[in-house]
Amino acid sequence: MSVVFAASLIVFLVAEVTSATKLLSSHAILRRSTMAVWCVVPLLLVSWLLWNHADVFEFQHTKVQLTQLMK
Amino acid sequence: MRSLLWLKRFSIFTAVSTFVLVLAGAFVTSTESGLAVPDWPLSYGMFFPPMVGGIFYEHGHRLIAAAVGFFVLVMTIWTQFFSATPRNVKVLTWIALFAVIVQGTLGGLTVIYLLPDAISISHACLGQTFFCIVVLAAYSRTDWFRGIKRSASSSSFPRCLLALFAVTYFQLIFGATMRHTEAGLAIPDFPAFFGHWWPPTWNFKIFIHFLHRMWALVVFSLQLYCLSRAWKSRKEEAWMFFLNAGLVALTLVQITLGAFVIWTGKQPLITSLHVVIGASILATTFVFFVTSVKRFGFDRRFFFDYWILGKPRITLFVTLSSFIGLFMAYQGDMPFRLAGWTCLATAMVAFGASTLNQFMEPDVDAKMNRTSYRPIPAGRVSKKGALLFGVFITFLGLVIFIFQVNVLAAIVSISTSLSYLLLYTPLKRISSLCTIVGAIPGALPPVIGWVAVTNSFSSEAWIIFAILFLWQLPHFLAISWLYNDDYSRANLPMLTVLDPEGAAVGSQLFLYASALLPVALLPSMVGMTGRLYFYGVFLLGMGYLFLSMELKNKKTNLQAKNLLLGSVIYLPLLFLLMAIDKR
Repeated sequence: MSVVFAASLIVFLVAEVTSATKLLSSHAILRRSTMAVWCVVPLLLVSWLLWNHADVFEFQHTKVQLTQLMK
Repeated sequence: MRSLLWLKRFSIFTAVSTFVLVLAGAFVTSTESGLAVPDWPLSYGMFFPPMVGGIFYEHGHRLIAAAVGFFVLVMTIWTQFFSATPRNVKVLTWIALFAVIVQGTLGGLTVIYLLPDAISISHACLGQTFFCIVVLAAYSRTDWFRGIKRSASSSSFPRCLLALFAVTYFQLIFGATMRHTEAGLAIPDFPAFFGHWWPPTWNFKIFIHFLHRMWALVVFSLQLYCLSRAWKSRKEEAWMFFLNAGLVALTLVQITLGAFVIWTGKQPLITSLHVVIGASILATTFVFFVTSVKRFGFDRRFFFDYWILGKPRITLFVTLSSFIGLFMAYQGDMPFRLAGWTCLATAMVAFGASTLNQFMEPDVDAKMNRTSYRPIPAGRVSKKGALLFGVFITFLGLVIFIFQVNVLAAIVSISTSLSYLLLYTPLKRISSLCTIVGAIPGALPPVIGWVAVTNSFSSEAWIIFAILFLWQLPHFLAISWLYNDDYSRANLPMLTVLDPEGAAVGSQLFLYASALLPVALLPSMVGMTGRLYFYGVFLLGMGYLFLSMELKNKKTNLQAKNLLLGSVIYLPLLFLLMAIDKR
């Protein structure tokens, strides 16, 4: 399951990078700031969910260090 | 003809007997004699026990009930013999017979199970409903009713009276709840509340008592409104004015009796009179409504219009989502009662929010083919009516949340409504980001279900939220793709309107579908579900991603339709797998 999950995460990250690059670099009718929000929302959401379950994904130590750093 | 006259007299006699039955039932509760006889259907194993103390009231009520049941049976059979009797009246007598059987059963159950609130309240409400039916069965045989001619002019008066009947019926429910939860003296003074003009402290009993008092004002105000309308047409329809004036007078008597119930510390005679006058008001309103329908006609689409104001399919989806949250949250035995209240309250709040949404944007709805048929833009329901209905349904849903579920669930629920109405709805006219903002209230229902069980937020609840949030984006972008002309006509800056070529739309829906792929797997990764869910949802996610990619690449309506179809298959299957493979 871990391998499949990691692969699906990679698929998402690739889609995120390619979509964001394409949309933000093109001369679209939409404002860049609006487009940036559209692009960043899924990234933030996925990051937040993983952050919430740091213990499951075994980066609890990193989370603790980052939290201390932010303080 | 002579036997028809006797049937009419017998029907009236049955209605009067039912009135006596309601009075006898009221005395049982007023004298706290509900458990004076502990067995059912016999009383202390006898047909005629010694009629002393509370047994007099309880067994007396049973004897009168048995007699009324017999009268209704005779009336029903007798009615079927007359071919000239209108079909409606025949059906009505069957309904009366069915109601009296159910009512008797409820009465028995309430004794056997030692007066549980739910059964006792249902018994009280059905009793008065049955009274209305029997009164109508008798009234429909009178010369006065049969002589009513259809007016050449139409009127919205029947609608007003239907609203009045509904409001009065709610007052019956509140009153019965107050009475059977022993909240009759929860506020011991009148007209003040504990010496103040607002209750200084709150609990369920105080709330229901307070609600019963306040609702009386709502009923009375609506009666006065109807009276003012009847006054305007008193020359052509004098009966309307006099009947309405009688109703108002009866209500004034009822309010006075209500005050005396408090002042006398629930004296049994006064309390019982308060109950039967309440039943008389309800039955009079019902008869008044039916008379007005015969006189002016009634468009039955009225019910359908109010039904579709609440967007029933969306309400069903929201309720199902809330149930999934609840289902995933509980451990041990399934809390059926809590689940029932949560689903009912969620459905009511969602129904209210959809109604208020339609109240807020009839101008936009009118411009779009997809929504121009809706009741407000089509002129079949007034904005005022939709506003009152939406607020009322939402209020009731919140009351259920607060008193039957928990306050946190009520807060999440009202936040869902407010974000839908005050953020998404206005933002629709301003920015394409409305789709993202609108996905938040769309994804909150599972959180409502979750907190209904746990009374706290947890990271697992937010996983289901995230799944629903991400799922909605490709789903709604596919819808707006298909209805792009509609959105353009209404000047709504949807992403599909701003990007008619579809490059940005395609990228976005593919991006959100790809984010959904790992997020939908999270329940198994964190131990909420097992392998079946994991691999099943992975396959579903790949399918959803493929359909998104097809639309992104080919940019045709066919691909948009396929994606929309795929989205409506994806989510129920995901929920099903989640439920089956729950850990």
